[in-house]
This record gives sequence, C-alpha cells and structure tokens, in this order.
Amino acid sequence: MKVFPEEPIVIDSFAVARLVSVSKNGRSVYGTFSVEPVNIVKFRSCVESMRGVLGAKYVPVPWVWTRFRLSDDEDDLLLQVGIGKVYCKALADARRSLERRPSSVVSSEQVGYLAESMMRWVGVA
Amino acid sequence: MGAASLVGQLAPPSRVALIVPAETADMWPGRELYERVFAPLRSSGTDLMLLAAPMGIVPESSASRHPELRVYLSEPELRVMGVDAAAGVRAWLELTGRDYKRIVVVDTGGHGISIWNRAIVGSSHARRVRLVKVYRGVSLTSGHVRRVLERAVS
Repeated sequence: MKVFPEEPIVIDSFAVARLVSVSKNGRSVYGTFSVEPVNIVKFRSCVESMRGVLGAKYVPVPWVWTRFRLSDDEDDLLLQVGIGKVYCKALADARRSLERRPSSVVSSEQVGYLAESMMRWVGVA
Repeated sequence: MGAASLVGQLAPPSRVALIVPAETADMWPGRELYERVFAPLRSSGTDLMLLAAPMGIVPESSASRHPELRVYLSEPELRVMGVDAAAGVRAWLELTGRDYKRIVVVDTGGHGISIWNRAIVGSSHARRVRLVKVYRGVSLTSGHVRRVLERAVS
C-alpha cells in the first residue's frame, strides 16, 4: 500500500524530507524520511538541539505521530511519520469520496505539514 | 465480549461534539474570546473540537497541549490545504461520528464552514449535524449566541 508521496517535500527554507522507506506493523503505517540539509549550519544546530527529543514520539492529534531518530552511523537525521491504520484507511476513503483521487495517496502537504510542525515544536524552524 | 460492553455498544450515543472553526488567532483554547464563549460549554457530555486546516478535526485537549498546531494559511494555501482538511474531517466523521448523538458546528462565515460543507456532503452522519450560524455583525459573546449554543449542546 502506497501511503506517502515519492517526491521530495520542501520544509520551508530549512530542509528537504525525502521518503526512504514505507513500512507497517499491526497498528500503524509509517514512512521514514531522510531530512537533508539545505543550510549546513542550521542543520547541525538542529540536530544538536534535537538530541533531547530524539526517539520521543510527538502525537499532535489522535492517530498520527512523528518521531526523529539518527541513522545508525549518526550521519543522517531520519523523520518517521506514522498514521494509525484505521485512520489511514478512513483518510484514504475520504479522499476517494471527496476528490475521486486514487485511494491510497495521502497528500504531500499533509506529510509536509506534520514534518514542519515537528520542526517548530523543537524550536528550530 | 462481556454483556456490559455489548450493552455499551448497543446503547444510543449520548455525547455531543461541539466543533469550533479555528479561523482567527482568538479561536483557540486559552485565548480570551475562546474561553469566554466556549469554556462555559465544557461539560462531561460535550466534547469540544477545533476545525483547523490542514489537519481537520483537532480535539481541544490536543489544541491546548500543542499550540503549534494553530497555523495561519494564506488564501492560495487554503485552497490546497482546505482539501486536506476536508479529508481529515471526513475521516473523523466516519471513525467517530457514530459516537455522538449530535454534532454541533459553529458557522462564523469563514473558511471553516467551507471545509465542513465539503466534508459532510454525502456523509451518513449529516443528519446528526446542527449548524449554529453566527451572522455577520453579531458578536460571538452576545447573549443570543450564548443561548443558541447552550440549547444546541444540551
């Protein structure tokens, strides 16, 4: 099931989140994005400021969560956006009924928004 | 499944959802206008929710905890993200609409009601919805609006 868009998502004037994998478990479907710096100074300060929240789940609304983690070699910052399966299906059905779009696509604006709000939450955007 | 939980599932819903469009800075938990108008309506039988683009429906508790969810969108952004918001509202309706005996939506004439209208078209939960229209020139804090809101959620 394709949930996240393949094209890069621009996080305003800060970084680009690029989808690297989609996976799922019993309860959630989640995409992992690599966050690529467009400004290296800002990126480094971002990573440093986020060490305290790395791995912490950010759940702004029911059924949706985001989480940052470092790659195993600690060179890359990864962003995970997870959507509860039940909500994912309802969202896909809603888009289909409202727009007649393919049922499995969640828009880049939505995922970009989640990423952006996470950036704001940690105080770097 | 126990008998009590089965009875709970079969019982008609008794709760009311009150949906407030987050169209201006003042329409958010903790802000003076919001607290003056909507705080008195909080009760054990009423769930307050914010209608916010692009997320859709945000429970009041989440809105209070995460003020960063309050975003301001330009008209062009709203045209795109209003679609996302409508999908979020529709998904919320399909997942939780049956839990409410009534869904009260405050219509202040802004973009919130456009999103709501888009979301509700064709939904089986439309019959549970009650719109509270606040006409242009009428203050949200007026006694008339307060009485209409109180009746709607009672």
